[in-house]
Amino acid sequence: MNIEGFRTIIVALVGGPLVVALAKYGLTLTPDQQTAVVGMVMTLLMIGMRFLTKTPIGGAKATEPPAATPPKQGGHALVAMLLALVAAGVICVLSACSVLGISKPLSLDEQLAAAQVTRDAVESAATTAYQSHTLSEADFRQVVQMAKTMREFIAAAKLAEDAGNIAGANQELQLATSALTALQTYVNAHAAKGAK
Amino acid sequence: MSTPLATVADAIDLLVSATEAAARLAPIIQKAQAEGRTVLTAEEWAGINQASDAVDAAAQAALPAAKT
Repeated sequence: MNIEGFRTIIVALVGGPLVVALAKYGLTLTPDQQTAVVGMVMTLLMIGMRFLTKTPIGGAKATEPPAATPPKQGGHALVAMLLALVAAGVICVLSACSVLGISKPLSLDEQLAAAQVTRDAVESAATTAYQSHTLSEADFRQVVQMAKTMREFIAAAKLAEDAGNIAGANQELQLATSALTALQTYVNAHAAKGAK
Repeated sequence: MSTPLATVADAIDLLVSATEAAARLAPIIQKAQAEGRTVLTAEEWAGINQASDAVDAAAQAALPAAKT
């Protein structure tokens, strides 16, 4: 389990409300302090989840043979829900910009970067779901193809932006965003059905 | 034997690894805005693309080679 990665979720999903609550009482924290405080809270929650699920800290399951394990039949809806949370978490990280010390709206270039990072998150989530046998090979291939298409849209938008074609870049960004929405919907719907 | 709780544990790892991507982006945007830039540098984009390449490579590696 990567604690550093979890701190992102901390800031995004819990940090915002907590820091806002603290600010209402006149306690303003620096971004580093915010991360540290909320990090401690969420690390405890993470350890609690590990305890509840009886999963050893350190990732012992990584030694499991990947292909010989039969497809899991339970919990697909939970995986689908958590896949949705992956995307939601990334979006929250980006939208909770004030918590991270980002007070201005995202520029076009930053929106493109955000779209690409979100694409990465969804593809990474799908890869893990496939390796966990909660996403079928056919569905996974479809997700990989959609992720590839989305990256092409983002690359085209970046090229247009660099060339000074802001309208074209915005159009490509909208296509990329639509592709991301489709990708998220596809992953959520098909992970819910499980590997069949 | 797989249980829903074990699946949740898998998904927690999944959630953590996937949001690491966002953890990389937030400081980049924060730095850009602090410096008054609206465009990320070539180096910053190279880092983002490198991470995307790694995600794409992991996805391709997970697919059975014979059917690719």
